[in-house]
Amino acid sequence: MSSIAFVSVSKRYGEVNAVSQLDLACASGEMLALLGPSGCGKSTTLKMAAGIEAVSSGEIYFGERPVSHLAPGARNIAMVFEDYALYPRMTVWENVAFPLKVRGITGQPAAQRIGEVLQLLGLRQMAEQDVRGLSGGAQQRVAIGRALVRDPDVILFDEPLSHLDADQKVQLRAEIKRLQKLRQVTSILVTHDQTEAIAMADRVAVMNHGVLQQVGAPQDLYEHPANLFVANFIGEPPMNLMEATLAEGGRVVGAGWSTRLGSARLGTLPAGASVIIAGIRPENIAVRGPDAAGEARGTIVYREPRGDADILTVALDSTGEAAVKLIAEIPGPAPWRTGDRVTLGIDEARLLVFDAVSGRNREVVP
Amino acid sequence: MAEAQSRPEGSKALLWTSVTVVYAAIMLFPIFWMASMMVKPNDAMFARPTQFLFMPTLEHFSYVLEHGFHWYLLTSFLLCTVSTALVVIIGTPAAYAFARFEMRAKDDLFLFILASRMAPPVCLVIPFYLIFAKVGLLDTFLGLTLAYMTFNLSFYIWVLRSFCRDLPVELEEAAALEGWSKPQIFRRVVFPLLRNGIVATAVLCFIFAWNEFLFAFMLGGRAVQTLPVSIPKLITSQGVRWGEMAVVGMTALLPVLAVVFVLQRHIVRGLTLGAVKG
Repeated sequence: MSSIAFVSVSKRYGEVNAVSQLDLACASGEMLALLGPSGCGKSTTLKMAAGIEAVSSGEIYFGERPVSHLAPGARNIAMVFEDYALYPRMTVWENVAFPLKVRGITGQPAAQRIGEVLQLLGLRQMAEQDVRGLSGGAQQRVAIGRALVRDPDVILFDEPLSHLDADQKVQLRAEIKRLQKLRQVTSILVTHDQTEAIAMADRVAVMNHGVLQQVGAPQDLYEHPANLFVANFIGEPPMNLMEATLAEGGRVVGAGWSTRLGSARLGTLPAGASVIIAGIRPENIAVRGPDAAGEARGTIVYREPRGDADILTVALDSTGEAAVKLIAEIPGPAPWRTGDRVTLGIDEARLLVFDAVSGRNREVVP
Repeated sequence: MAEAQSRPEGSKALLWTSVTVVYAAIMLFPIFWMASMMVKPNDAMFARPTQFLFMPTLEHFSYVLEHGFHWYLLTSFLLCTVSTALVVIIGTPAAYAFARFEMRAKDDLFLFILASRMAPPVCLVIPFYLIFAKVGLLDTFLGLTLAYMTFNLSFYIWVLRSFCRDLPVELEEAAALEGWSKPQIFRRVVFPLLRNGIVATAVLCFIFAWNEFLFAFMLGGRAVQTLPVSIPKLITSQGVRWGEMAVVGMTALLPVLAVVFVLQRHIVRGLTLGAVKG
């Protein structure tokens, strides 16, 4: 096992910066997720770690060892691909045996290791089957078996669940996590699906346009996003982001709503009035009757029932231009219906303050 | 009920079958006609009314053998086999490189290769003639082999490149992670997956070379004569030797049919490649 560190790693394709000045570390035995929209540089980062793509500048370390000049085969890594990349015309057993065969490990020691891995993945019964006949989930398990069988220092997962059905996805998600913890293999997982990243990874690194936005435990990213991109990308339904003015004494005023920040937080915020973007998670908005006290009043314009929760879209009463719409997530089934007048309670302790210009969270330094 | 349903089904199938049979008969008639001419005596050849019953003769066969046409067949066969083999040996790595590797001026280079196929052969045959005359390749087996290789190579690279592109690159990446070098990956991962594509494309190249007339006529001279070039010899001052022409024509047809029949499985798979995924 070994840790991985990217030090000022960049990748350029001609004029395009696919990855810029990436500094990122993954501890030994840890699972780190690279999360971001397509084209954000996460796959490129993974391929640089694998050695399939060369590094334009910077260095990648496995433990103390710089590896960016090493061929993929010399890095002792295994990779699990989005579309499995199993060798066609080979059985399950032969596919898993392949990495051992390449290293000249055959006979009894090989058979024992292959048997163990197949057992671990529940593939024993399918050992003699041709891989082309298997379901997507089973094929991906074979690919994971092929990765595990030779005890690599690092396993790289490149969107391993993207092509699977929903039920297989959930099943394999738990499976990968279990195996990764069991074997204590340092792993990097690339995904565009935040649910996957949060469910599987110890820490999540969010990337956008080739730049690392924030890295931290899933809960940290959720509660203290470093900037508007992370705030918006993580969480479903997404965070409400509203323009507002931060006045003296911690008073925050937006179109159709206002609140006051607790005095404890004021010390960390710059003094004086300024324009900000205020962020609040849908579940941190309380919905009350029209006559109750609260920070905003409005009308429900859309209700999306989800069984255990109701997602309400509320248009705030406003004097000016287009009404601000807030999304509230409350335990369901709730009595509110489209057209109802409501009062919203905005939990000021959960209100995030972002700089209107730079988009940075004013309180959290990434 | 079932009968009422099956009846229109049945008559429809019957209709289609008869249409197919009639179409096949029309298409195959010239071949049957040629086959019958092989053994038709000369005086029955164009008799009016047409004689469907006649005493078969082998005189056309003996004429063809006496005049050494079997040597032309051998020349054709060797020429096409050798040039196609060279095309496969040189073209397969080239096509793979064009599909996978980054290189300077790749697109221009590829267009250059394609261009040699886009120009009508007539435009190329004169430069070929002049160059071959200079370097002494005129009227040689080697010269004609090189010429065939040149015009088939561009086609082969072009087609096989798309086969290469359809292969999942992850397979090669996975193999690279196992520590294999590029040549090893090419030989042991890529090549087995490309086999059907290679066979299908090579068969087409073989057929192109087999049917070729112009280059063989201009560059082969008297020394290297292929089957297509030899056929006009049967138009003699004493008249056209139709029976002999039929014999040589049928002989020219058979190797192509044989190749297609033997390799049919590969060709069909090659033409429907992409099924290698998953």
